[in-house]
Amino acid sequence: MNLTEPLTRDEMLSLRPDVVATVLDEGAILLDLDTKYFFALNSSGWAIVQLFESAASLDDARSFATASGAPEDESVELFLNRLHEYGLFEAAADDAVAAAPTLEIAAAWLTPTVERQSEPLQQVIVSAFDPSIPLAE
Amino acid sequence: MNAVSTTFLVGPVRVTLDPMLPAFERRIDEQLQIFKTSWDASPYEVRLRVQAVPAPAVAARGTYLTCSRMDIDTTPRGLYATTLCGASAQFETAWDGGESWTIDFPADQIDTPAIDQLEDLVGLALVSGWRAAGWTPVHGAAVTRDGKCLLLCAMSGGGKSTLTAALVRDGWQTLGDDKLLLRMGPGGIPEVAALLHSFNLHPKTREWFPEVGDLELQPRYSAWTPKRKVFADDVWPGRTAQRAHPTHIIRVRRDAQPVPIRIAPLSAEEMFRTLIGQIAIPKDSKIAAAAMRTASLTVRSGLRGLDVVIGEDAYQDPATLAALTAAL
Repeated sequence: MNLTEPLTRDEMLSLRPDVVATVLDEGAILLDLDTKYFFALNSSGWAIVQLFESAASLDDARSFATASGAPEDESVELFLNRLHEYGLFEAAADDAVAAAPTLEIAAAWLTPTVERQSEPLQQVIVSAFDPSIPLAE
Repeated sequence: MNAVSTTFLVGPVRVTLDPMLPAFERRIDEQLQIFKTSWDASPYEVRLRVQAVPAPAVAARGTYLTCSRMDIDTTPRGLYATTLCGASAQFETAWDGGESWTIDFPADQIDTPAIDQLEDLVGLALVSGWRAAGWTPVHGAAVTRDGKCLLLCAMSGGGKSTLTAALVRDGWQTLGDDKLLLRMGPGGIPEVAALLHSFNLHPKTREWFPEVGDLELQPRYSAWTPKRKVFADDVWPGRTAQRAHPTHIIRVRRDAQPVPIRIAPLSAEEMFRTLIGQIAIPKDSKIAAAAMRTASLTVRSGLRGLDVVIGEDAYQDPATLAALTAAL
């Protein structure tokens, strides 16, 4: 995928398989195992991203957000294009099943946000146990 | 070559060494005999076959993990690792309750300092076994007292060991200053367990804690650091613990200036990033997701988080520990 080109509305996308997620507070944390960057999502951002654990398009996400109470603005597009710029998406497989449109969020709708951690985890570490930065021997 | 197998209990793992050259067995014995904590559960078995080979191994590329002296790949046979000297470890097979590895070591490197690289390969097998036994390895320290348990998190050289020693001499019990295991226990309560009850202390520690003695007289345990290994029971008898439920995550940082201790709360996200930063995460979605889930559930179980900045020579001031204790 060309990360400098904005997403088209009907392009089917999936979260890359080496991007893993865990729930934290009302939102979630993503970890890109390739770059080792963490990304913090708020509750609405996490709700949208869950659509892409299977497959979805920008239009699918927009429809979901509207049904969840989002205002008619560009926030979903901006949010998804930010994830795209970070390289977290890939083109969905031809046989990927689109996300169920019935996903509901418990919290009130917020402008979806993603915040990338300023520093990634270390790519080279001391050992299989110790994630510290190796010191000169 | 020794004719019988040798076993070591290393936390929830029983390591069985197939008969091997004495040089290999001596080196692995040095590495594993310090794990003296007692575990009552049936151990997961890690069987190691270590053999001398005539040529170095084909180098791994680090597709799974890149370490300072070792690269690890995911292969169809399982994990494959090589070290700088051309030694290798190959995951062989797993069965219900155990797994086996083969380590090949170049014969011409056995009597050289490169023999230390055996430690990296054995350590990889240990980490694999600990994970298979249901635990997440955490490079951190822990102390417990009166129902509280502090997980002390910092990178190597960040002050975990010195703060642990300071708290132990103040009456806390230690679960270790470097290697811990963490899991979600019954009822969703996180549980931390000890692997070894030793401290890795810098010789300068004596200036604050004279009872540790002259550490310069003891051998270095690693070429990587001037620290010496000190066993808790040798200096502070009875100040060890085996299991505890974490109540606090403490992010420990040093300040090179002689300033008073600074303490501030950590948000849930900061606590998560502090804890996950103490876990070696490979490029394996399943393992990474499990580590993230353990860290997240631990934070969400109601722990409190503190950012603690400790200035140079802070341990000469009794107010340092008093301030930390008051903030808990």
